[in-house]
Amino acid sequence: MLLAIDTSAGTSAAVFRGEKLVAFELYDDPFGHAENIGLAIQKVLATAGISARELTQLAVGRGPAPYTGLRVGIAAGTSLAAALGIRPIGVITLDAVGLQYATGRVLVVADAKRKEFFAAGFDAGQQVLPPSVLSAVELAEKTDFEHVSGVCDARLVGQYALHALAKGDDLSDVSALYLRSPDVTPSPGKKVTG
Amino acid sequence: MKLTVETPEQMESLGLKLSGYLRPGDLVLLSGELGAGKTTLTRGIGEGLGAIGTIQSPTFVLARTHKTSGGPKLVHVDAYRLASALELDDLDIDFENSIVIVEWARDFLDEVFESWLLVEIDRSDANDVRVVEISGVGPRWQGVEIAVSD
Amino acid sequence: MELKLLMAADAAAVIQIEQDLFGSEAWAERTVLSEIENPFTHYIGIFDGGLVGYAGLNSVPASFSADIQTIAVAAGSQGKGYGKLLLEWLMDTALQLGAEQVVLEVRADNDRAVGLYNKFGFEQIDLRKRYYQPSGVDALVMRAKVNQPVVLGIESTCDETGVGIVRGNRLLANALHSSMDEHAKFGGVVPEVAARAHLEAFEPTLKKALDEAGITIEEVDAIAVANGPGLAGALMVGIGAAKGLSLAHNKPLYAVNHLVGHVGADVLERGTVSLPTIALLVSGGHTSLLLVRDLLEDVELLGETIDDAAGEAFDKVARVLGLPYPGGPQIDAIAATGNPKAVRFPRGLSLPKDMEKHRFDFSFSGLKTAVARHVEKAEILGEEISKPDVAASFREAVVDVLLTKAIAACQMYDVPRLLLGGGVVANARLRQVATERCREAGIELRIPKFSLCTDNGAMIASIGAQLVMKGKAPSSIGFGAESTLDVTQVQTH
Repeated sequence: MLLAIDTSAGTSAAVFRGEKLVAFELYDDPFGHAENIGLAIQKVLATAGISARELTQLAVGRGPAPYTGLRVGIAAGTSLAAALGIRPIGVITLDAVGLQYATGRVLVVADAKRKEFFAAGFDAGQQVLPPSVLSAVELAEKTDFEHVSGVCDARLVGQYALHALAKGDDLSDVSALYLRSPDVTPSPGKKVTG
Repeated sequence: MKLTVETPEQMESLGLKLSGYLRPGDLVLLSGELGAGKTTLTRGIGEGLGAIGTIQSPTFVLARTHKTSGGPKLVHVDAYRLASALELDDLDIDFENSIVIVEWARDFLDEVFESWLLVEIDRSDANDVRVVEISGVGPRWQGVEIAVSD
Repeated sequence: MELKLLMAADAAAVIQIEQDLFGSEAWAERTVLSEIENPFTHYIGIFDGGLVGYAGLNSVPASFSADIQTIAVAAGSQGKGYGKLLLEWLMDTALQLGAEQVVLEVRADNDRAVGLYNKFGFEQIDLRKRYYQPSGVDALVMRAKVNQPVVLGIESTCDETGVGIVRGNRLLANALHSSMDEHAKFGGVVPEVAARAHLEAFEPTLKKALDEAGITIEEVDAIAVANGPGLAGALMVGIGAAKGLSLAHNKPLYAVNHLVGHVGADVLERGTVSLPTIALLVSGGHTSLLLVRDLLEDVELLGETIDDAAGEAFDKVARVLGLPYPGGPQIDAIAATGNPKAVRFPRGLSLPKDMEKHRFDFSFSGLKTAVARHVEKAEILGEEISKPDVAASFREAVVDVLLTKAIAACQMYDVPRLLLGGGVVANARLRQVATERCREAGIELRIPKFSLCTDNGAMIASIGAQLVMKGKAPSSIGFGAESTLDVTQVQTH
């Protein structure tokens, strides 16, 4: 039994029995992740009629996504997994969406704020352009893809996890995907005038 | 617009008057040296908005969110410890639904925002008098007149 | 019929029952009074048209042990289950006091009593021959274990990620990861932002805590998490993790107030926190003065900073003096050779005009500015200033105003106890002056060890444990992060 958790957009959880989706709960609020994560997990476990102890696998969405919300899902998922003695699986949300398009070349696009976009390109579900941050101009240049919305949820995360595991992919990285890397240079001396 | 502020009470009062001009989605950047009166001004703004909880310097905690009596959230940010726009991003502030006040605002904020109200507080006068300059930047503040006289 | 704590006025009624039941072995009046009034004993009485039964417990907090002093039911009221009621109260009180065992003596010939004790898990551990005089009856010494709850606490309100584990009032583990360690680093991809660091640090810190306590997560009875006040992004990581842990094995989850946690830290050092107490919490993010009458039900904010926290003032003044981060230790280092009386810097909110609205509030902004001006003026005039003197004088001003107000609070509220908490407690001068002034004022000063003073998970676990011990219902699972919170809310949801 697999529990999938995603807080890259709203807050959602899903339970899969084998390949079959048996429970799904989604809270839309883009700012209510800390409030809703417990409720979402509790609900899908109840709907699936299982206790957490019966879970054998756990997948979390790694983003890329707005940070604070994203971290809630990863924190909850990895803690739950640790407490159950399960090794959690990490799914890049753009990949999860990309998998839904069985044919054609799609560019999965999600809002990265600051007038930029997270994007990854897929050809028949296979990643051909790795996740990156693009400006509106760079995005417009990608004319050889059909642009699709990158909004993800726990169902897609779960489906991707099952698909990738069946293929034997290594999904052991559960770290948040920030894409914009932090400054490597040391903090400049802060001016006393601000 | 430029005005002089002679006491902390006047600074707070200025904040109170300024609060009347602020709407959800607004960003106020406070610039000034250590001790210029940025937190004092914010306290006045907070009072005007009916903010719940004491307005305190958020240098350590980076950002404090106050609910306001029947209004948008007031997010009080101190960028003193932030090194880049990235870190500001990471705070993941709900800008749309909040009034955000940033102390120790820096250059990297230009990358991120379109409009803001800039309040520069100069305390270089030997007599502790502050000179406050308020200017609106960007489309939001086009044609908006801030009438907060001395 | 009601259960009420015994007062001195009840002594006469107690003595009557004592004499009726125990004759020559009855307690003297003197003894009864001193027992009731002893701050370390807890006496309860059953009243049903007058006193009909009573029992007493003596607790020794530091040894996590409690002794039953007596259980007595008046002859005419026996057979109504009062003995059992009294014993339940005693065991419940022992639990709340953090005792891990309860010990009692009973007459070897009192089969009924021994039978009752057996039902409550008491086992004989010793025999004292001819203990009761003048009858010469033996005493059985019996002991019962008290199942103190094992609580795991999570702290992620600002820069520190903490996971602590307690059993009742006993500290089992306190694991900490500070993103401050990363701050001084150069080069490499360093997550500079608190919330990122929290996410990465949580699991290793959790593991460290469980290893230190020698338990598994299944053995934890409840989880507690500080859901505020603090930085929302950082808090959310702790909350997410807490909910995950809670849901794994259906452990009750408690959302608690970080600030009150600092008071809870003291329980872990002594097995109890003496109340009421004034608590002065001083850190980079907080400077608050609390009056605590009851850790869970009665915490009052007497005053707090209206601008900078004391720890922050140290950091900012350190910059003014051109010292590197972190400010506290740096200022301490150079202040060592400085004269604290060299410059009289302002003590914020200490003027007569401030007493009405801000008697116990703090303000360090003016002090910070004064130091900056002092340094600027010297630079303009091309004068040399003694950094050690400025540092020492600044530090003195901070310590002075903190302690003056704290002690004034002790005196105004007639509470002869002061507890210090928060990271600034590391400051030796603060501790030194606190010790001196408290001694002069006849105030009991308590400073827990540093690892419990700075933000940590054990203190959060401690508050959680108190809530469990008091039988408080856990929080509903839908709580979120609250970056500002009232101290009167100890369990926040």
